[in-house]
Amino acid sequence: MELRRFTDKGVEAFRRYLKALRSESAEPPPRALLTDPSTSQAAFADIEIEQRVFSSRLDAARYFDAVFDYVAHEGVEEDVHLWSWLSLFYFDQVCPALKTGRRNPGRDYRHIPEPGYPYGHRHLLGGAYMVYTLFGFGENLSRLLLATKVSVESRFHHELAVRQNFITNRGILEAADMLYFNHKTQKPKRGAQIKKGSPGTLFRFIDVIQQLEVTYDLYSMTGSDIVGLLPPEFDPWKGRENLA
Amino acid sequence: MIRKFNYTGRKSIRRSAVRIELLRDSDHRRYFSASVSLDGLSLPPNGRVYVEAYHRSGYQRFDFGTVADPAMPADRRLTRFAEAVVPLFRVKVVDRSETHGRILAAVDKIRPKTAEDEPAGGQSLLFVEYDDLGDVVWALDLESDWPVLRLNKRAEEISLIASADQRFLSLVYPEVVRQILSRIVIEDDHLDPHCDDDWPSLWLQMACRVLGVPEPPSGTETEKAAWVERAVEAFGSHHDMLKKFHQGFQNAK
Repeated sequence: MELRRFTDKGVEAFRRYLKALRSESAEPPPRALLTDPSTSQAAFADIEIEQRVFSSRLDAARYFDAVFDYVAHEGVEEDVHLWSWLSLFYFDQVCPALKTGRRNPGRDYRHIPEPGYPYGHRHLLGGAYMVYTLFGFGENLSRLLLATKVSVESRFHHELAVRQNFITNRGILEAADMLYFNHKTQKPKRGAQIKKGSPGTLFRFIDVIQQLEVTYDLYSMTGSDIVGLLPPEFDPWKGRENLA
Repeated sequence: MIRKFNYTGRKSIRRSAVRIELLRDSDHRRYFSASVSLDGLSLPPNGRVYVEAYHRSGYQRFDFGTVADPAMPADRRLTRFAEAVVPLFRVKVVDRSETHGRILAAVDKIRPKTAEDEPAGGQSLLFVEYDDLGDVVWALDLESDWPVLRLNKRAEEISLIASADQRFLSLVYPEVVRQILSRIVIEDDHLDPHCDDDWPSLWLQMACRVLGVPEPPSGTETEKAAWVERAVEAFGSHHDMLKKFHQGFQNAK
């Protein structure tokens, strides 16, 4: 169907629906908002969008990258009305119904973007697009952050994308991928996101990188360079494909 | 009380040694010019100089040659930032003679001069950005790299109101000062105006030098809160806020 974006009225109606869900409403998604001229309007000329099922956030990001490839539109990643419309369009994926029939939408910013710090990256669809396209990480460097299903934000995305000095640094993302991505399962290695303080895990990676960047110009380094600077606690992660 | 110790051997480039200006070319595209003085830092001649621009998710890096042979790159266009935002800048001098580039000297959070700036010479302490804030008219962002007054771009004539409406100035800005100084002195326990030339130190310098209050006390939270209120009162007096408030209503009649 035609790609559209919400009007202000559409965004507010969608917000009211999310609020109702949090109050345990079992109302179905208000799909009429997607096409009602008072709540939405055409986004770009001649751009169609498909109701397809995404295997992961990476898969969704790949699709949006192709959809917006021809759009010469500055700031598409922060277009609140566009990404809100897309969230409702794919609502069964970003907020699937539970067995009880109820839906658990979480905070609004997962569905209606709040550009800027600290929630700008947390829109489930727009945040994935930012990692894949805006930062230009593409397939190999997005996979660690976007391996989850569309309704789930992984800890890797949550912790790395919020830090401007991490998400804009290709070398740091390469290093994280080298340490924590399991090539066999095409998912993050098990145990990499466990609690703070565990040796060599994601949180220690963040702590250590923040210490290193005081001394080293990490922007000029490759992932291998950065991994080479890490202390021995990270050694087990350098080749390990899985942890019990 | 926060004191900063430098264990890295990294040298600080004085903020006043860097001047960055935002400009537009004939096609109205934004670019910047930069002058960096590294005199007196005793840096190695082959140290590489980088200027980095950043704002939220945007980041660009420019190679400015070496300490001995500085060279401003021809292409200094800022292509990764929305038109509405002014990126901050940092300058680094890096030792690239070994595998891992060690930072020899740096300065961060440089706010560039723009054509819209007040006459040169002053250091801006608070920046303004326009966002969709829902039903909130203004908000103070102290979690970014520099204090930012966020104004709701959906509020009618908010730019004009925030810059010229005496009622807005008298009602909002004292609260902005209160929140910023509370963060610095009470939450962060940053009490030394001369600790660095980062924004908390510059705000404390402004309070002491311009508003005439003494340096904040290192006592109890109550004493610090009292100091903040004293500074807010001094800010009100310095800018005739009550008079502005009355004038604003007279002008609106």
